[in-house]
Amino acid sequence: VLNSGPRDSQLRVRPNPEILATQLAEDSVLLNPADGNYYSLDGVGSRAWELCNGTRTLAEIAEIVGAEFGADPITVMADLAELFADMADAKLIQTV
Amino acid sequence: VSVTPSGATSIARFAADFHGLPVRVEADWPDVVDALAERLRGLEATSADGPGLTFQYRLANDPGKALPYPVGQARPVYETPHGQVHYFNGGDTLFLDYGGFARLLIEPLSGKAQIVFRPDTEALWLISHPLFTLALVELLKRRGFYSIHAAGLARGGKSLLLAGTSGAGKSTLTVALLERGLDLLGDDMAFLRCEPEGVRVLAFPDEIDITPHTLGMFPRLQTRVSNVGRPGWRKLQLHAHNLGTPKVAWESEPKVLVFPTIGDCEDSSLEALSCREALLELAPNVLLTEPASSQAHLSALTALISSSDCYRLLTGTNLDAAAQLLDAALQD
Repeated sequence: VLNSGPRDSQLRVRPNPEILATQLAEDSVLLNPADGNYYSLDGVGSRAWELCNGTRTLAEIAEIVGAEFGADPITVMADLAELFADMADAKLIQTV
Repeated sequence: VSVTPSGATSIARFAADFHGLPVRVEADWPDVVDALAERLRGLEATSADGPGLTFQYRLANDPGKALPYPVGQARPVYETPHGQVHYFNGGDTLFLDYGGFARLLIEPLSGKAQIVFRPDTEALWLISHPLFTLALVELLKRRGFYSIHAAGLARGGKSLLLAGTSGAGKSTLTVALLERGLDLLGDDMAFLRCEPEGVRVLAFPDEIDITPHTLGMFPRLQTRVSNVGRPGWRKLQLHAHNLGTPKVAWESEPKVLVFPTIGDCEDSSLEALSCREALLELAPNVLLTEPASSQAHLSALTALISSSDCYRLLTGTNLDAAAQLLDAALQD
């Protein structure tokens, strides 16, 4: 499980290549063919999904999202750690 | 429909044109071809050569022996009342054993579907309707035609899609809107095609399936239904050409997307729906098989939503008023 501590803040994640994804306005919908489940992401989640390309760290993503949405990066970091942990459980993303 | 000898068995054949793509049906039981020719009467018959889709139907006392379960790793992608559809990633095929009395193998790369079934008149509806449709939507998906489970109508080249599962009132609303003079795209299924100028909605004008209850709401249609009491048929069938003057809108621009539910008060109400809610409603239309075409299907649905005004409709008992409300949204 990811947390917002200093070690996990340097983790890099990327989308599971099997996932189908589509973006509509600010929201996204993800479909996992392996289990047939589908998920929706709000604007912040969609932007994080877009940014997690395997090269950016969690901290870097939090910084970008925080700047774009006018939110405190520390708070964003904690929220994203929770979101990415859930997404990793659902096999939507993989750690690099 | 022609029945010609082929080896020891007579093979009946029929071919229909689906937006330029020949859809060919071959069966060693002519009733299957008759049932599909009747179902697809809204499409032009064709004798065109060239690539297309082929549906081969074969009678077998033991479908399990006649069409064995494919070899390889599979995952379930769709649940039917009598069996799961499995997708085989290695061979890129889909397979269904339907309760032991029919088997379906879909081979998207070659554009072919094989259906093996026990001789039983009750099976005729199953193999000519849900199993045919299942194969058709997957084969078409690989050829750039993306299905949406929706009734469709059009006015002035702009489409109104009524999306939803069986029992949502799509066919009843379709008949009510045809009575108002709208053109027909289809009663249960439409297709999307992505063009450089945007997504287009394509007609699939097969039979309109209605319940006796719906028929009771439109007394003038009482004498126009077919298949009354046919074994295995669950509803009554209407053809667009039996309804008077409706035209088929073969291709149209998306305008209104509605998710209907049946209400019990007289008046109907339309409530705006967010894009995200609409997309979550439509996502199950994508059969999660081969990744590239499945992603393209999802993207086509997204394009449809972004080009449409999306609503939920609570359909009241006054069908004329419901149809008027939808017609007004389409002309807005």
